[in-house]
Amino acid sequence: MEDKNTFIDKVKDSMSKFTEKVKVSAKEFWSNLKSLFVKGDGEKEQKRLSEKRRRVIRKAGIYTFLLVFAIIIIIPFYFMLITSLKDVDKIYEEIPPSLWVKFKDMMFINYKASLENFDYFVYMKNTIVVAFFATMGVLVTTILASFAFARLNFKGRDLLFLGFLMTMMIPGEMFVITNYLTVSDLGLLGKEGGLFSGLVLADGSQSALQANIALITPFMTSVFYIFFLRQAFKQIPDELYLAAKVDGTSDFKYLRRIMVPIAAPTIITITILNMMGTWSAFIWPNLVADDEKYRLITNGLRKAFSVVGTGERPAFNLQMAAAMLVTLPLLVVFFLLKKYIMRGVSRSGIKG
Amino acid sequence: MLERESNLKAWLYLAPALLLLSVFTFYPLFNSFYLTFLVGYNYLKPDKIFEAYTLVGNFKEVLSDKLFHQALKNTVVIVFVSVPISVIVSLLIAVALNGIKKLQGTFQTIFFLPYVTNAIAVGMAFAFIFNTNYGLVNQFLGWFGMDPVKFVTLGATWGTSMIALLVYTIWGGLAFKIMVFLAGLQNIDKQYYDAAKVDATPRSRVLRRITIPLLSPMIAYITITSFIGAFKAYRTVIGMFGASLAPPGLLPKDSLITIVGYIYSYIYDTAPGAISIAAAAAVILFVITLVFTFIQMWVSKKRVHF
Amino acid sequence: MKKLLSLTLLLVSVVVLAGCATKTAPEEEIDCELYPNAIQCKVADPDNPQPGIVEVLDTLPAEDITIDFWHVYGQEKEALLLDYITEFEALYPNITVNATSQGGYDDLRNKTILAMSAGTTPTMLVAYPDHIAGYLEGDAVIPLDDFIYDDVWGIDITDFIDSYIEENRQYQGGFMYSVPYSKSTEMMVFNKTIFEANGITIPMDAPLSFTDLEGFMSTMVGTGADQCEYLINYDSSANLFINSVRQWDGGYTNSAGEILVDDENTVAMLTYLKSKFENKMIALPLAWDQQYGSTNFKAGDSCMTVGSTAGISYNIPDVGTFEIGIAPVPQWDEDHMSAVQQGPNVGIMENSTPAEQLAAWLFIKYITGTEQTAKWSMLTGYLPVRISGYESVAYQEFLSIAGMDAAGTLDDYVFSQDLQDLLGNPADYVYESMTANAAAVQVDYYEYDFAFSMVHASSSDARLQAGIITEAVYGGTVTVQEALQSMLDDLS
Repeated sequence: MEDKNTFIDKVKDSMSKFTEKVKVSAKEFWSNLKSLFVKGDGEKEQKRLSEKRRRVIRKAGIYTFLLVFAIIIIIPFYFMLITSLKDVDKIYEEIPPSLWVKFKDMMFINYKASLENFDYFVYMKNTIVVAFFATMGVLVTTILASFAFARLNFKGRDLLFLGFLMTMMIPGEMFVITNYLTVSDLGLLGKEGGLFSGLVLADGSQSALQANIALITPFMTSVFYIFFLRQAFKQIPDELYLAAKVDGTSDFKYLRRIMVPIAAPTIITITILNMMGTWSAFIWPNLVADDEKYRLITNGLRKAFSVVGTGERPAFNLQMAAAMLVTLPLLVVFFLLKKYIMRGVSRSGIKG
Repeated sequence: MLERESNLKAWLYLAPALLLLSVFTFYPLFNSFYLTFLVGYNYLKPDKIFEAYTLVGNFKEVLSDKLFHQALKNTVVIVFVSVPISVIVSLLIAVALNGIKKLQGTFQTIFFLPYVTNAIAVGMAFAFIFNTNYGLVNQFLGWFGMDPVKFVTLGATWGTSMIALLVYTIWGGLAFKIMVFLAGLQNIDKQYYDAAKVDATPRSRVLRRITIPLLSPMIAYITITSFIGAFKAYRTVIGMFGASLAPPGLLPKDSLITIVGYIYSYIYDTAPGAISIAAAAAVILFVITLVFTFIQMWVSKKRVHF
Repeated sequence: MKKLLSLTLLLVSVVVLAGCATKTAPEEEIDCELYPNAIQCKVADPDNPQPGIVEVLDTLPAEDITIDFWHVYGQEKEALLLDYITEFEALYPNITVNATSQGGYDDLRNKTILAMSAGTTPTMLVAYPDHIAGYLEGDAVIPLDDFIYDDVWGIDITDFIDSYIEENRQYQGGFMYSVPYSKSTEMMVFNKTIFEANGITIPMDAPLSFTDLEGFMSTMVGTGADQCEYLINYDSSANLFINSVRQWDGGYTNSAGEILVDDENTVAMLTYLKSKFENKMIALPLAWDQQYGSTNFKAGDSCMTVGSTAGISYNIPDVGTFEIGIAPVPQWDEDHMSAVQQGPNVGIMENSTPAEQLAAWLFIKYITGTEQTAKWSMLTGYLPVRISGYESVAYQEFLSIAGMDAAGTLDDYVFSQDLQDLLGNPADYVYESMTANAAAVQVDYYEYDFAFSMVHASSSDARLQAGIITEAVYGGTVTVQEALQSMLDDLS
């Protein structure tokens, strides 16, 4: 009970902090706006004032621009939130759909009910495990490969890079069939024969380890992110590298000590994007995880709320409530890492 | 000697990625190429039988298919309209976001939200936005005295439904691009800006002379991957129109099909030979994308230190 | 340019390499005179119903047998299925049934196709007829006739609804490749209050005719107090088209996958529908930008609505608004009655041992048993697949709920303990019971779609297309000829 209260207090606290922030900004904006219309004396004062006027107008323009796009961008998320709090009959009967639910009509019970529909924690645990190892893999392979492409001179570099790029030009759907066969041939699907077939459970069915290998391995690298990080590395001036060479710093040390920290915003972005990939994956896990208890969160979500009978309809409210709960860990991660993305880089001291 | 050593080192750095890519990317890719040369290939049978080889038969079939022409036309429209708009808009948003202090975190979170929004919610929201009777777009048009436009409902034309699809596509691409641009902007050394401040350089000049050039690798990245991604558009069509790939009442069926939609409709087709049609279409898409990417790189070579 | 050239060379060389890795064997037409025992040459023979294609064991082996069952069910349906599995495993302690949901029907089908290719198929699965037709391209499902007519393990196949048997026998050789499992049909829900206000009583034990519907137009449709904007809504435009074609004796598809809509009866039918769309006798949910007509039926915009029996709960208005009745779907004429029967069947995959196949057969036999199909139907809203399921004491009592409600005796009636154990309060199942009664009328004239799988033109593509052109005609954007021509162009 106490925990709950402190949690609510924390939420309240942060809410009030936020409104305070908005208030302060609004006040400042308003006083700036007012000051524009205060008549100044003398030419110098006039000039100062017109400059200030320009600055405020520019700022107002920027905020208006951001606000307009923020509203456009947030609409679907808002739909998800509001739908998760509605009564299911309302969703089907309201024309047009209402954009607001009175607080007393909000069905917070939907969240509890949605959890009863599927093993949220089992799926979440699997997803976190797969996301962790896949992201680790992606980071290692991507950082090394991007460094080679961005900084090292080797024969056939551009050609190989082009070859990498070309793989992005074939739709991923084409890979699925062959990769399924590969995973099967590797003995990961509980079939006899293949490198990993020894890992099966006693009754010959797929083990958790096999399922995880099949789920993780194909996603331990990504051309898309190699390209991304290569570009980030290319943003780092050559002089730094040459200076380090002169100092006798090894390539690996340079990568670890200088390039990785400088490109940290990009690396964190890759981390978030890749985790999101695991969160939304459902075709591959559905194919290669034989047992439902090995599958990932989106599989759970789809199974719990998909309709199988002709004429049946999904309980959108529970589905959206579940989707919100699925999203929650991602949002937490995003909040934790956000400040690192926006930290910015100051490179003084490196150049010595 | 030195060069050979550095060659070896580079390949070592590349080895982990290369190993994984060879198994899960290059091999299936070449397999797809191979399938285009088969007739009547039946991958459902354990021994994977086929009837004969052909060099161009499957390509001919795809290229003479009216549905493929439709898919090509739709894909080209999506690529050339949605990519430039979404790149420019997201760049502006990222630069604006990078230039403010107050509420920066809040805005940043909002621009991230599309990423964690459930696809069904996105579909519901856009159905609402484009509804003929009460949709936001038509209410907006109503302010200017315009009659309601049928975008996604009965009576929608290819043009109006394409507009809705483009808006949906642009919306769907913003979050990622904003994130990448923001990360790219953050990679830029503050010292450049400090120097500019000392010189009292005007902002527009800072943007043109410092920000854009230093961001150019990221701009190149976004442009190239966005074009490649847009050539592979498909999910947005499903999200907007469902399995019929067209608004209700619009014939022929699949009026808004894309090339990947075309490929997908053949992939899980159990009829022998269907998979080769899918592979041939994929190779055609590959060639189109490749040529376009070459042109793009060639054009941008002068301006971007790519 | 040089780079491009060398890259192309690289590509070509690897393509050749990949080519070597794939086994090749030319497809041959089998000469049935030379090989009369090849499966492709066998044909179902009523005098000798066991074709001897599948090896049927005389006794169930004593060792542990595990069978994999791929399905699509979640929540209540899955829970009930798991109950059946528990009961079954108690009967056969050495058999373990691994039931796994594979997502939706398309996910299940796509995964099965890949599994066929890799040799990782399950022992048995849930499948629509067009899925089975596709799996047969890889000979991945087995004909079940050897089990059905086996002295030890067989079942009385005549106990199953005729149309279900025909549907499952439509494949090569006329063998039965699957057993009906979760079946549903369509029903018509009507606004009883509004019809009674106009002095009209709609029968619930027999279908209305289109002549009846036309007769209702002047009284029921309009803007007056006891009138609706539209007379009747059809949730599924595809079913409207396909059912109407059958009733008009027109062409749609045949078992060879030919598209036969270039047919004067089909043209006449669609022209008729068009005129009824125009005079507001028939509405599609599109009239209100909806996927289903239930919301607008409940709002009084249409007096009647036709939809899947599984969707009955969405068509029940709030208490105090109006009363509803549930009847069979209206028919064009008595000689060509047709009601859609839909829903998947269960089949056994070829890539399994005789012991597994026998175990799977026993499980199919169990879940489609009289008691089980009746229970499954009452709890899920599907319909019994066996005549004995309909006639069972429990299901008869379930069907009687509607009658008691109509007679006003429901509140006083005490139901059997069995039914109370199953349903809780049986009186809550009035509408489900009405639905089941309406569906039972239609059993005699159920029709099924021919299943086929051609390149880019399967029976499910044809069904989708039928719905789309009907919607286009409804929207008035195309003429009847243009709509049918578009279907012909797209599917050939």
